Amino acid sequence: MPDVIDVLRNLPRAVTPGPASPEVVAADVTRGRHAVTRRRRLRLGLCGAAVAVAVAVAVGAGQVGRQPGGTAPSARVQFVSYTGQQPKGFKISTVPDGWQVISDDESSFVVAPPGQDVSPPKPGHAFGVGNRIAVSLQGLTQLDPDQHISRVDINGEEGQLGFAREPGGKLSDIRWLIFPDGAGHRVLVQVPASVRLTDDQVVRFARGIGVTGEAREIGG
Amino acid sequence: MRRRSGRDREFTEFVTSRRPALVRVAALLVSGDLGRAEDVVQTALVRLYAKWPRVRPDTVDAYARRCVVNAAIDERRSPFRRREQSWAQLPEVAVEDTRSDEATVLALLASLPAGMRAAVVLRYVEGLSVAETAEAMGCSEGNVKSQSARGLERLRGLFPAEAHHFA
Repeated sequence: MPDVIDVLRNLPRAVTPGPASPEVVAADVTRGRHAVTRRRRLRLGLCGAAVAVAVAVAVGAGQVGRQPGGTAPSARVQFVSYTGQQPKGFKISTVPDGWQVISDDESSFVVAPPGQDVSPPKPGHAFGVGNRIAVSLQGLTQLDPDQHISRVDINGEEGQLGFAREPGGKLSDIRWLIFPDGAGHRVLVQVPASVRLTDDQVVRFARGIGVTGEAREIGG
Repeated sequence: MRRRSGRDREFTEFVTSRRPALVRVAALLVSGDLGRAEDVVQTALVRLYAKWPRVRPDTVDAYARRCVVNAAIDERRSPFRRREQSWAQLPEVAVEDTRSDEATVLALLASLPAGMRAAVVLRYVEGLSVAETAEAMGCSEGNVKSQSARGLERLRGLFPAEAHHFA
């Protein structure tokens, strides 16, 4: 029986993708071009949006969110002390009123607003986190630096708030807030636009998250 | 800054020569699934193309690897991906395991945390140095050493073989 290290050295022979055809390479170039074009348009759009926000503020037109998905954030969410069972690996002190933990393990937990199905997923079925907030340890996940990243204060530590990228390379409408907990952990909070929370509300929720010694990074 | 036509030509040359290797690394990071590996590499190459004018030719391989590692981890983190589930009971029907050692280790790699798996793949499969692995993972060399050592130890514990000892 060979040793693991010998098997590892032989793995390149077990995974042998074919050579890249000219069509595949050309598609890579095209996707890259489109992404660059989208990014330029997004920057131009952000400049325009900044002007619009300045004008709106000047005339007292109210709050303007920055949700790329187009879902208007709700400013009327109330935060309350969390009194339910604490998730494994984490502690929550504050949640939007009525929200509850619907799934948890040592690597992550999910909170959902009232009125959602909270039954555990059936064996073999996917468990979506749309319209819910997922919290985990950061691991090696990084915000793509080619976007506007907001620096926010999370209990005296600097958090970074930006957007996840979709597989095609464009920014998704899922916000990622990554912050250190002050005890050596880095926490990732994933917030889809559909939950309709403002940045300030996401930050407020994050300030109520703690990490315990049981927390583990996602494996597999 | 390189002009666009030059960018496309250089990028095309790079992708033509390096794409299979990048797909292989991605596949090893996503449990050998070539379909997912293809998605990961496409995402990584989009990022690489955007950065191409600012990537030095002598570091482009390392940067491309870093894009692949990050894309593989992001792909796993995506909330739209099916969440891994664990169950208290084993399946009732056992199947005979006729997999090769390579397939077994490939499956065992999937049980490692993402960072540990990346360290093991880059160090022991791709044969990168500690410094090169740290560059690809965006972390310290000390972290690479500990992650790769712990990953190897865990694989040895899981692999159905006699205990081996290496210097």
